Amino acid sequence: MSLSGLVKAVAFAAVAAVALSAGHHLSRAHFGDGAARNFQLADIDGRMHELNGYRGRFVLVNFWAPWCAPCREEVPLLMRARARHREKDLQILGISLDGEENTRIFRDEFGVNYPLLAAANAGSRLLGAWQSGGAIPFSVLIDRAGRIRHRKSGAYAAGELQELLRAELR
Amino acid sequence: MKKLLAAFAAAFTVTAAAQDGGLGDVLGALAKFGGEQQFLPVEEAFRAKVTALAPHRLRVSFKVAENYYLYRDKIRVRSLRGDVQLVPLQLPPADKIGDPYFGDVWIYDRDVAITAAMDKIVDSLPLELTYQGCAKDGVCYVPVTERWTLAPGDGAGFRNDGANVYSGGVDAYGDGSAGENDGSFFVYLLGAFGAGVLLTFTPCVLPMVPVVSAVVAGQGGGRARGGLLAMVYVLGTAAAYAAAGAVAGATGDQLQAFFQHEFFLIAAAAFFAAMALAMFGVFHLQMPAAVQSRLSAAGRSGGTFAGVFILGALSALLIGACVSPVLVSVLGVALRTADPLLGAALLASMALGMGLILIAAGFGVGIAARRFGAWLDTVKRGFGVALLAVAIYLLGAIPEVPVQLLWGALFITVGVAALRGRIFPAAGGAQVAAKSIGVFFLVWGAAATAGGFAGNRNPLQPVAVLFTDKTAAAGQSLAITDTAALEDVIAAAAASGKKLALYYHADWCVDCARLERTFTDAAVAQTLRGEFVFAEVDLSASLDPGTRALRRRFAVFGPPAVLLFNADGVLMRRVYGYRDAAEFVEILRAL
Repeated sequence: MSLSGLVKAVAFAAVAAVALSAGHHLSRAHFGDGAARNFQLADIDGRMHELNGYRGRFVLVNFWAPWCAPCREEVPLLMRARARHREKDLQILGISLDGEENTRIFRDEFGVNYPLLAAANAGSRLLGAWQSGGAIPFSVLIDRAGRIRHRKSGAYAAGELQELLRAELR
Repeated sequence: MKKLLAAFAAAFTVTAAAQDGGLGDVLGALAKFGGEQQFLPVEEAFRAKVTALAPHRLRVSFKVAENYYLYRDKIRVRSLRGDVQLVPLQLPPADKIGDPYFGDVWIYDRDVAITAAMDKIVDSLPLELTYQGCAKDGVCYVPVTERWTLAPGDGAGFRNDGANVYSGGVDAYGDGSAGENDGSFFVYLLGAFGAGVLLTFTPCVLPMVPVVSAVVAGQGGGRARGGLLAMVYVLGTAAAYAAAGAVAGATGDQLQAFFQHEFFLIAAAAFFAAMALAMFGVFHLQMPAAVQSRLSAAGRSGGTFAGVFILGALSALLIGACVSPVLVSVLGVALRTADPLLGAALLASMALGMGLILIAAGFGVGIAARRFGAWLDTVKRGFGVALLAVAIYLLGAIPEVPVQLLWGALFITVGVAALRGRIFPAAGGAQVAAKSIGVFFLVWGAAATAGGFAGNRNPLQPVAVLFTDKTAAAGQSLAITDTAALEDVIAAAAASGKKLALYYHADWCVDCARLERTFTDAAVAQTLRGEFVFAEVDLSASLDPGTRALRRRFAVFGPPAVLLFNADGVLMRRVYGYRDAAEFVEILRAL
């Protein structure tokens, strides 16, 4: 068979191109890249929070709801992270996919020390935009430049969040 | 083959690892792709199904995946028809789990079926199913709302309208921001490949088989070499489509505008007409001598391969004009996520699918030529006619071209050729058939010519325009210019209890012109006038931010698109591309 070098080269290039794009896409889907989608939501005390307004510090956006048991279990970890890092280094925003009333009751009962944004509808839309698969808890860590560094579906394990924040915020 | 696989694995790993480093993460990602995904998508965790048990009873069943559970109290079924009520569901016993915050909660962690009764027997019942659940390993899903419809005539089956909505309206009401599904990259590629294989059998692509075979055969060499040349040709098309896909992915639209530009259509029509002449034996198909000699100077066999590769790339672009609606639907995901790499991969995959038959033909062309001899000429001439038809079809997209006259000329020519015994090589019965075909085409051609002078453009109904009542129109139409107006129209239609048809069009969109003829069909117009509010969104200024916002409000890929809303203002169906009047009426009535 007169298999010329060109055919081999072309076949190789085609395979490599498919592999490269598959790999890139996979990594993008998994690790996230690009700027995080901006949002502007009020917390249950009426203060506005705009994601782009927090440029210059890390932001941990946590999607949760009072009716979601694994989400509730994660809240103490987030509260500890809040206490451990200075506010100008790390902002934690809890986006509740429940109404304001339920969210407030929860906040008061647990003494949550970071802003809780009650956003039933807008929250679910954001959740979809960030490739969560529609499940909570879901967390996104955004760096000082507003780029997504990390996503997590399901609750953080005890040491996991601490480790992640130490590595990223150093 | 081993080497190729190794190259694939290496390239894949390198890029996957590049962004975050760490083999562990890459392995995690692979595990996620390989099916060991951490959490199932909600529709796989709880497979919902609605079936009719009896004329007035229905069953809602859930297949709950292992280690997932549904909340009993969150399951709801609601009739969307005001005159039909659903009698409360009978819920089977559930398991109790302790919840430290809420106390006891009742769950189903296994398959469950629930029955409900209607208070009236109807043949069509739209209903809304809401449910919510969690994975035992630590996530809960946002409540899911699905719409199901008992369609008339399909007996016991209920149909899911595909309008699965998270309670917040992520999907059906999405603004284009709905999350892409991470795990489906390869599914998309496979789908694109399948679309490519199917496209082979359209009149745009099929006639290219003998054209390429002729080029390949003209190069001499054995069967293996013919196959390899065909492969290189296909890789050329894949490269061209990949480039187009990357551009489309990067810009988010524009591809259709590009492929449907008049200049492009004329070039493509000229190309197809030239190929047709080659099929009729007017000239011998091979690469221009100048190109050929320059290439062969560069390297004896490599030169031919390079030439065939370039030919593939060029013809791909021209065929693209013919299949652009399919290109755009294949590109859907890439357009929505504005991902150039995904766009490139999708279109390359589609091109490989389109090339499958060509490669087979490349290997087999020697055999066919020997076995079928004289009949092969008939086949070639048939393909020649098909190529001319494609050329005319493409030109028909330009309003200034009197396309029906071209059809008339083509049909008459075919008719005359058939009468003169130029179609079949055999004598006897075949010639009688040929004469009948000839008469048929002559009559059709005459009718088409007559209709053409009357301004008709549809060769399948050549004289229809002579009898059609031109006053039938889609009734009044609202032109929407910004997203606020769009919301107003949706709200107003719902408030007046009418359904809504939102028509997205653009100046440069030739399929829109065809679709608009559908709107003027009497039956379509009557249905639209009676039950619908009809509103138009102009996407001509495709780079204008306002236009983009309009397009993205419902994540419309490109025109022509018709979005159909029910009387509650809920988006029920998206119709892309051209539909004829019968199809369109069917779609409207099914709503």
